[in-house]
Amino acid sequence: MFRRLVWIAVLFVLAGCAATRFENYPLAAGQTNVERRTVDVSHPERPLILVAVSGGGSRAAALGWVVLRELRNFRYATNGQGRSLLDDIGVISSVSGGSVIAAHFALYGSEGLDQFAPDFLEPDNMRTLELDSVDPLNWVKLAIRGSSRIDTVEAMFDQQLFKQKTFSELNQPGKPVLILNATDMASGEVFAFTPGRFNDICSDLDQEPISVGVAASSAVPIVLSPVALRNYSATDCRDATAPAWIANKLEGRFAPYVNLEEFKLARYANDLRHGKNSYRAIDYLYLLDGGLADNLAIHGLIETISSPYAAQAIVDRSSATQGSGTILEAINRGRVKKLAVIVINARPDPANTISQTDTRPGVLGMIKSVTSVPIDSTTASVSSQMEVLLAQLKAAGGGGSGDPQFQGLHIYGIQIDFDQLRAGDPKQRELRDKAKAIPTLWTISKDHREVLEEVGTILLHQHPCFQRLLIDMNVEADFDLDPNFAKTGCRQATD
Amino acid sequence: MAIEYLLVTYPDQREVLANGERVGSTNHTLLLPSDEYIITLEGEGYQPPSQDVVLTGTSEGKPMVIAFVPATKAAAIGAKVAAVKPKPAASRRKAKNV
Repeated sequence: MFRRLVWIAVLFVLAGCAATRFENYPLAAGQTNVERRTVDVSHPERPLILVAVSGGGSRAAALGWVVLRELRNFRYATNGQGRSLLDDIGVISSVSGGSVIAAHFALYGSEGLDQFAPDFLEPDNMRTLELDSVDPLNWVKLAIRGSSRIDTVEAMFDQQLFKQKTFSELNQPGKPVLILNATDMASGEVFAFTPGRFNDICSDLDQEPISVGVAASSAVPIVLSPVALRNYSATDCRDATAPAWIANKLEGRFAPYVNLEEFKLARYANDLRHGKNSYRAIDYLYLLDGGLADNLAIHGLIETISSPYAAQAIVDRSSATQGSGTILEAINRGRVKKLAVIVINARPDPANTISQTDTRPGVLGMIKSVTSVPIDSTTASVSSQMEVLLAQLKAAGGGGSGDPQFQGLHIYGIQIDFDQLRAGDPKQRELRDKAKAIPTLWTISKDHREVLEEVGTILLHQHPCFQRLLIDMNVEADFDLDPNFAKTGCRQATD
Repeated sequence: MAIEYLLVTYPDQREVLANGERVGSTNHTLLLPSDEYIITLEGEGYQPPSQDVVLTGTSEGKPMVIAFVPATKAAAIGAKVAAVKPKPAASRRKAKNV
């Protein structure tokens, strides 16, 4: 393994001298990126399922794949037709390794899940990257084209999974809303590959290769180079009109005090657009692994659920109201009665011997802590924001004054985490230790895949909110449901 | 960021816009994140043209309530108010000195 990383590092040194190649294209005059995806909420008896897949290389990709495949196994009848829970996924947000399976699912759907393992989880992807690093042709490309080491990862994604397909194929009616999250290296802000964000930088998302978005989301700092984008807003979209909410936020007297987070989002969007009183001049963007800002990809879900300015992909074909709206609007109209949020956390936590050593840790140990501890801390903070949001929405489901149409809303917060494997059960404890020790690489062994297949299935099945969802929907399960456990562990405001 | 409760009243059902984005309908309590919003209705013919609200500190039992009225009704109310004129300042001072 160390030798492989050395070979890859050789490539990286050679890449250091090349000019930067920017990997995005400007919008044509008068053009904007339009949200074409549609998530149908015409049938409130169906749940709306939102999924977040964390970082963690092929470990995260594999765990995400196991959970999605498992959701496909749970079927129910609605409106005279059979349907699986997988069909109810409306939004999928991801970072790093999770972005590989998220983009694959968004592109190829339910049928594509059968091909994911042979195409990505079974091959030795690290060997592919290593071979590319010693290929002299690659050195020429680095020197002449201005390519960088992230290009080898993009090429691997394209060759094995995405076949040069672009976001235009993802941004289609009936497709789930995919949110691939990277981190803006300059500001630390989350940069998502979405139509709205690409409007902010006056760049054509339809032309953008999916492999670039996944690579940006997975660009581990130092080991890989950042994905470079050019901001065309000052040159090609000078006369573009910004959404009203940005100016309202920045000029509002109370906005920075009442909701500082949203204020900062408005400021970032304004900066990207070179708007009035910009805080930063952003002409170029260098994107790194999305896990630096949020390793659970929850930011994207929080914004999608609660923001009035989120992706307008929700359609209600039974309503007289024309056009699409946000999830929040659909909740306010009573069109969403069951909201399930599944967060798949593939965080490793291998045994650390520091606390058993009487020797002070050295530089390498500190570097590891400096990189992993802040990421874990930020992730924990965002995770609790999601818990609070879901708790508030759950409470709202109990109703209140003013004839709310969101009365009866049920919330199913399902976080999949290795720590939920029961320490008191010897088998689960063994699986937990094995899962947490799976390294973060682009290759995963057959044994490790099998561990994750077992772990993912157990964690989903034994979650009280997943069981509650199955019971509330009368979905048949191939394992014993415990209604008392489900109702106690996933209480709703209407209980 | 907290989830707040807002009720926008109007005689008919209209779409409610928060900072230009549709968030629901009038006469039903709505959920919105705590923030400052410029609230308007879709279409025309209502007053006031917009309301700047700071949405915070609400609950399911106590939403913030704001009202819009049809423009014709607002004009009629305005006319009534104008008809009841306040006493001029000079005559008030004269009355005090007596």
